[in-house]
Amino acid sequence: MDTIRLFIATDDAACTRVKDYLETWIVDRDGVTLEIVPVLENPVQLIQLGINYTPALVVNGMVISQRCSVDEVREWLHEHLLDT
Amino acid sequence: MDTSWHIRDIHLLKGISPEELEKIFDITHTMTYDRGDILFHPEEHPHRLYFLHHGRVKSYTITPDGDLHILQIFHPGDAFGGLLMGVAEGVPIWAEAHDQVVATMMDEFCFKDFMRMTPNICFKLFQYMANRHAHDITHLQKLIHCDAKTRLILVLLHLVRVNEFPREDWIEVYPPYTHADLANMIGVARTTVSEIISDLKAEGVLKGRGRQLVINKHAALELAQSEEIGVR
Repeated sequence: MDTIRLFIATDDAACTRVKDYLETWIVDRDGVTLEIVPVLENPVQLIQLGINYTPALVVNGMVISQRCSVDEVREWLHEHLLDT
Repeated sequence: MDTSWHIRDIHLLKGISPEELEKIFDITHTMTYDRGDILFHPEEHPHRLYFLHHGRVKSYTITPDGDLHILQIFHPGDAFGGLLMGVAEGVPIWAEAHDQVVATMMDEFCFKDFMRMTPNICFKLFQYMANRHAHDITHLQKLIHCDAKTRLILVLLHLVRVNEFPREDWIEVYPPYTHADLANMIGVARTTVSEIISDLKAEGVLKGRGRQLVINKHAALELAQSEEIGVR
C-alpha cells in the first residue's frame, strides 16, 4: 500500500491543479491512498517534513517534490507507481 | 529603504533531530496565517522574532502621506522581527501574510527558553548571523568596485532571489521598485537608473513596463560576470 500526501495552500492555483489531477488519477486505483493536506491545518507536519513550498508531493513519508507541476507529478507516478 | 531587521535563507529548523524539533515546538508558537492576515503591528514588532516556513510575508510602513510603502518581502527560510534588535526605533512596521503562511514565532520569554533548551541551534543561529554579516560586507565591497550597470544587475539578482527559481528563465522583480528606490540602493541618480534600465531592455536582459521589471536570469548572470572582470 502506497500513501500519497499532497500538501497544498488552499488558495493557490498551482496547488489546485495538482490536487485536481491527483484526485482524478486516484479513482479506481487500488493499493494507493491519497490525502490532501492543507498547510494551514497541518503546520507542524509541514515543519517536520521541511516543506517550504507547495504543492509538495510526499510519498510514503518522503518528500518527493516541492512546488511541483502536474507534469512532474504525472511523470513521477508513471515511473514509480505505474504497476499500481 | 529597508529598516526592518531580517536574515535570509537561514532555514534554522531544517535538518535538526525530531527530538530537538519537539523541544522547539514546546517552547515556541507555531503560527498560521491566511492571506491578508497581520503577523504583527508596529507595537508588537520589537518584541517578536519569526522563522518563516511557508508562504511569503510583506513588511511595510505607512508614509506620512498615508501611502503604503513595502519594505521587504520575506520568503521561506527567512527570519525577521525586531526582537533581537531590542529597540523600538525607526518607522512603524507592519507584517502581513502575502500567501498562506506557516511560521514559528518567539517572544523574549520563548527566546530565552530557546537559548537554554536548544543551545546548539541557538549557536547555529549566531554563527549564521555572523557569516551573513561577513557575506554582506563582501557583497558591499563588490558593489562599491563595480560600475553602476553591474551594481544594478547584482542588486536585481539579489532582489529576485535567483536561487529559488532554478527552472525559470525570466523572473519578475517583486515587489516592484521605483527607479528612485533602485537608485538609492546602488548610490546613483534616478536618471542614471532609468538610462541603464533602457539599455538593459534593449540588450534583452530586462523587460516590463512602468515599475514592473522582469529579468532574464541567464543573460543577467552572464553580464554581471563579464562586467565584473573589468572591475574599476
